[in-house]
Amino acid sequence: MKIGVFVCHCGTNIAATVDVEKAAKAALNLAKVKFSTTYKYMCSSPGQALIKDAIKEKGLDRIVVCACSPSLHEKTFRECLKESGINPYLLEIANIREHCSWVHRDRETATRKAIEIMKLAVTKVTHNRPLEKTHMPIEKRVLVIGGGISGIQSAIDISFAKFPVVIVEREASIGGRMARFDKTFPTLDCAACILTPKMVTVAQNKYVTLHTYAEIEEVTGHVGDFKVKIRKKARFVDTSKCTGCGACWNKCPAKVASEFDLGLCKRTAIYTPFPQAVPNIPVIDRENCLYLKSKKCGLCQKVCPFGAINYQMQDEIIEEKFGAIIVATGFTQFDHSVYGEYGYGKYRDVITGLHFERMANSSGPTGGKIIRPSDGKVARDVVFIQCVGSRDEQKGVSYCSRLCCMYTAKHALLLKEHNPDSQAYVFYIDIRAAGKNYEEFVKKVQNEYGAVYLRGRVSRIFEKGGKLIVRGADTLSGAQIEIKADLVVLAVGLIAQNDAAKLAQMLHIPYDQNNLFTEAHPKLAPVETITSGVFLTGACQSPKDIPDTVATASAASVKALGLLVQDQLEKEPLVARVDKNLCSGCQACIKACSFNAIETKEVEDRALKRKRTVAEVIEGVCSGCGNCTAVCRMSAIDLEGFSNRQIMEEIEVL
Amino acid sequence: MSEELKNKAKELLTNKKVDLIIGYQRAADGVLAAPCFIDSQDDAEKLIWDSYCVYNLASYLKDFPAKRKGIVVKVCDLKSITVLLQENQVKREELLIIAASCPGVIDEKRLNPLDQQAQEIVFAGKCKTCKTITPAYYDILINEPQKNDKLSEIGQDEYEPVRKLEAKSIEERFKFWESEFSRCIRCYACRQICPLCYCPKCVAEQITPGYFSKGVNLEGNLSWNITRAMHLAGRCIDCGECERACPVGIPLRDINKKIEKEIKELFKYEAGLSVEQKPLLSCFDKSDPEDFIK
Repeated sequence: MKIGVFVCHCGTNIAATVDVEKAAKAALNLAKVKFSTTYKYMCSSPGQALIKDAIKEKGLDRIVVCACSPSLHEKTFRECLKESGINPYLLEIANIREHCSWVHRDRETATRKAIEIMKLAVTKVTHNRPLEKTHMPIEKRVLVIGGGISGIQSAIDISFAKFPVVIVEREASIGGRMARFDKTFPTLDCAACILTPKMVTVAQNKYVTLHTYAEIEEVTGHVGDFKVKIRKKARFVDTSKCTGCGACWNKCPAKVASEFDLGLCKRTAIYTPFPQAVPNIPVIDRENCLYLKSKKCGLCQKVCPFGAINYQMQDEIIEEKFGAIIVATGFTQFDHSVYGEYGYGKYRDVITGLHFERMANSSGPTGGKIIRPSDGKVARDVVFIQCVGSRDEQKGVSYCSRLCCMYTAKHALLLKEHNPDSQAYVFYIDIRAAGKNYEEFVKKVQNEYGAVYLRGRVSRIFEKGGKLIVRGADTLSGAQIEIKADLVVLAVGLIAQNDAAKLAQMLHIPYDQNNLFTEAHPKLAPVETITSGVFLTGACQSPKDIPDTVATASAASVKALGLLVQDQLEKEPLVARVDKNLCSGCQACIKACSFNAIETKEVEDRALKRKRTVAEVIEGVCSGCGNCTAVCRMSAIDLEGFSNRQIMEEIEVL
Repeated sequence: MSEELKNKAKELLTNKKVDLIIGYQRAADGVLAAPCFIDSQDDAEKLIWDSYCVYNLASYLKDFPAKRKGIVVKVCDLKSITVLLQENQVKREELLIIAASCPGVIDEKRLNPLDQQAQEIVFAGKCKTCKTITPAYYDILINEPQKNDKLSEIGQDEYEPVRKLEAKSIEERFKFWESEFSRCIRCYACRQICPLCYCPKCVAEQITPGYFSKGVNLEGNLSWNITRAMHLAGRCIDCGECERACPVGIPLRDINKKIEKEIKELFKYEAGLSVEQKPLLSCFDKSDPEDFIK
């Protein structure tokens, strides 16, 4: 065995604190080290050439590079070894930058520590084994969870590359939140005009399968081979027969508040959520259908010209396989009823931004009239309150919901356009308009549409004489303000879906204290999760406006496609292995494994002359995290590249 | 009570409900109890049940795989069976739990076997603070409703010895354990007797890598005793067998109890309460305290 040690200066990053020459010299005193040298930037081309030449000339067969964190250049140097004809796993990185030079000042002690770190790496590399990457097949299909603009865009992008994609949407139609919006900031395109073509595109696309009114029941497996159970909730309408003619919902006598219109109008028990629904096939809401509740009625079945109504329909669970999963489950609105100052949600004329969207929409419940829900009168003086639930650690969430400033400005503009005599007052904390043409848009609303912006909070809203009295402070002028308003619109924040944590657990992806899904890296891996093969897009990760949502949707699609275009999935060989002779079968590892990468297996125990249950690692799934090795009392699990033996030997030389 | 046990055992063996029964018989000295393994109804006569039935018989379960085993258990023994079930070492369908309401067992070490007419029974330390008499679950209950009033100290603070140790300074504590462990002769009786030390090959005997010195020296002794205690963290149910088996009298229960107390305080976890409970050290919970990460 001939070990070569290469000490990097990293400019002055290391060399200023660590005496690299001394370290390189010290290396030669270590067992089996046959060569050592230093270089200014070992990761540079000449630096790598130095290693390659030394391998060739000195016949080195194992390499230790003393440089920065292995997370940065381990790959670089592995490749370097590979090109020199040495197995790339016969390399160890001694991190003498993050672990040493960057955190110490005294040159002498830092040098001593650097030498110690180097000693550990030399000891460890002595016990490295040549390893080969493993390969596994990939199921070349993508699952998109959620059929909002995010999921729709992902599906379209994947279908471009001609890979099959399945959208699972729990509502009766795809479209999500965006389908409820009227206009979109800052360009004021009509939301439906830009969304519905995309909805139709996915519906017509031969690579896209839509499962609406369906939910994810269970996810097992791993990247390249996810097995997903999908519950297709009973629609009670045969999708193969229904033409969406509307005879049924025109006749249905059961009327309930429409969820799509946030209770601003009624829908029937058999319904499509909105006129441009995709698919345009109704569902029967089993809680409110008279027939399903009490076997009375049955009108829809009688009037359906195609015999599509089937009251006996049951939920169906289908199982499908996917290579990658894109999570596009979106957000829900913060519930403002926790705020006493805004009337605990009991005033009918204190509404949310989404109510306002529906009212402003010409196909909405008021036909595009912005009125007071309580008496139907035209709203003239309208107060908008920003940051409701956002940036409030006490009652809401600590984060900024990012789009409320913009949609409030848009609402103020729409108000003026719909009701020219109206006046908008906006209470704000800060205006956050950091997007292309966003600041200009807000300025336009203030200057051209006469919206009055008041910096401050509202302390109380109460009803008096048919008006809402809004009391607040304008902290810029120091004045106490009282406005007699017809309508108050709360810019409520965006929060995670109620069942987000459950889905995250199913997918084995982490989520934060707000139940928002956590990306693998906030800067460099923003649409990936730590579970390989699962990607994030849209507001399920953090509040996002439409442009950001669409951008992350395309980004997630590219990541998924990057997996799918490979012939086989390449896996790092640094995985755990079980020594079945040492394994007691206590299954502590199975419980500790976050990746479902360990199974049980029956083996014949020759000594005991009977079958015994032991643990077995599924190599393709193991990510090499080492959790299992830490919980194994019998040391039956060993991690390639970080074996118990290597760690013990390292401790010994320290 | 022994009669009821004998009759039940006969019945179980006759009806072939079990292949064997693990229970207690009178030892050769005529005073103490010894484990016995009964597979015929004639032998059932040997079975006894009293305060001398000290041993935790759960340790023998692994010796009879694939057999339907009846086992006589006390409260504490049952908890170790619970952990064994939790850790998939025994199958519930192969077990028939004969729970005996426990009168408290003797402290074997303080009993003079020659003095058969001893005036007073000295109960084992674990019994003095034990709060339960009848096991939580069982298949058959041999019940003696009377409570033994010898156990007058019920309700006493079970962590008193631990608190005494905690009151010492770190240096004093280390010195204490150093002197205790220096007496260890590495006979591994503590391991052999422990129902939860079932690893096919103990880390103390592994060689590549060797985790600690196999020699009888302070380094090796400390490593062994700490490893033993740590491997039982979140699992030990305080049957006290290790301490009883220790030929040099190391107070092993104190170290077990210290860990048990920490776990109770930090994670609100108690070992051996239910089979469904997730093993403490294999699981991560968002509410786990992280004060130790500085």
